[in-house]
Amino acid sequence: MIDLVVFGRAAAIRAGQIVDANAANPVLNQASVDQAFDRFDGLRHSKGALPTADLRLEMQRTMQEDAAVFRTSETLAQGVEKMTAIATKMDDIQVTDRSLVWNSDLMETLELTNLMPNALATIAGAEARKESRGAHAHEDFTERDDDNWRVHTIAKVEGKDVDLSYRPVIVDPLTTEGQGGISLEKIAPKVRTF
Amino acid sequence: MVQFALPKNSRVKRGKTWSKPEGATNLRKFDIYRWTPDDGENPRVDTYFVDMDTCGPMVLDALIKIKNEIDPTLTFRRSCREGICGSCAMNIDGINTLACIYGMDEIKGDVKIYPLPHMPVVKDLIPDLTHFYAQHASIMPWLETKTNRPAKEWKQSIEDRKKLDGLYECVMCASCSTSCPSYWWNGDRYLGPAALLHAYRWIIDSRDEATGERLDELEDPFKLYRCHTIMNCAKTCPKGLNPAKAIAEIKKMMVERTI
Repeated sequence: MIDLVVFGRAAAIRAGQIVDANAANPVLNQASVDQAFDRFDGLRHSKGALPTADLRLEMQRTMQEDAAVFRTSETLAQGVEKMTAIATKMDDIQVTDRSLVWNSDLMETLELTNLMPNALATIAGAEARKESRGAHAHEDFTERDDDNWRVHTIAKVEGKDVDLSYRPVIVDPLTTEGQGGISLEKIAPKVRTF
Repeated sequence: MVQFALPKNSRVKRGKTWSKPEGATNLRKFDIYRWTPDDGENPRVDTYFVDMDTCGPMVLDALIKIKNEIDPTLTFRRSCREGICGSCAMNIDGINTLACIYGMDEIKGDVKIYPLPHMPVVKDLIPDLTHFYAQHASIMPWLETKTNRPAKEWKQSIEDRKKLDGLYECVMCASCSTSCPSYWWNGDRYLGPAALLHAYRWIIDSRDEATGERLDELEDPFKLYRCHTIMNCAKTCPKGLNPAKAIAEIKKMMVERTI
């Protein structure tokens, strides 16, 4: 909440400086408008067999079971398989409420279409990461591996398919020690022991 | 002429009785107010049966269960499910309260759920709170200062901070204002207990320097003085606060500054 207040304020002040309030709105990209409306109307009128709440519960149960903090190669592999099957079922989603006023059935379905790729990216990324780090406590790879895994996972999700790639963690500070920044030695990466 | 009956299109009719969940042995009956602006129909009361053996203890748990398992069109506000966001205020068993912190064991017999009373309904259990929020905004719910900004921060002693206890906890759920008969009749001009409690919260804040202006703003036959100490607000507040006392304190300050 405090983040929102601080960064929201900073963003608003910056926007006020760079946006001309009197300028005409730029022309919208019609293709992306159509895409947004297709998504909205498609879901609003979807007549599948699976209510949103049922599919959401399936997703939640699977993630809780197979992507818990303490995970193994076996549970993660099983989770990827299960989540792929669950994500496929999005095509069979059922929305009952067709109203345009306070339609929380539709809202929850839209939320689910956002949650599903997040769940997929989470479990596929975790399955591929053969080390332990923070809340990724891998019981088959218990050590933290800075040589190979000091990288961010980039997941591109298309339907049920997840395409993983990586990019190295940015290790250079914006303000170097010479410019008055913190000494890199002080914040050198190391295994956290408690 | 005084109108004693509700207009025809506002009369609440018997709605649908939804089928009981199969195999459940511990059922509880829920009568829930339904209305949608889409079909031109009167409001109705639908009946649902919930299996208490697989349901959480709070009224909100049952509502979510009904939405998930029986009727996805049932519409209500909810967010934090722990009494801090103020979203799920509704009339449960005749009491305005938060569904998430109201235990079903506190209710005898069937559970009757209606939207907050005497408010325009947007849909089902969702009242239109636009005016309520505008009233809150009108009391300037922020720190007003005149002296120069201190180098670091506006400080407050422990004793002065204590004066805000029992006030700052308000989550603006609107249970109190919508339980107040005076707010029902004069809600357009009377600010109501919630907005007045917030007004008092800023009036007695030791750091605030606009006390006079704040009191001037409330010196009005309707805004403040439509409180007749009915005390429904204090009785219903799901957070255990006492808006009536805050209003009485403002009235006292009004008198004190004239003598």
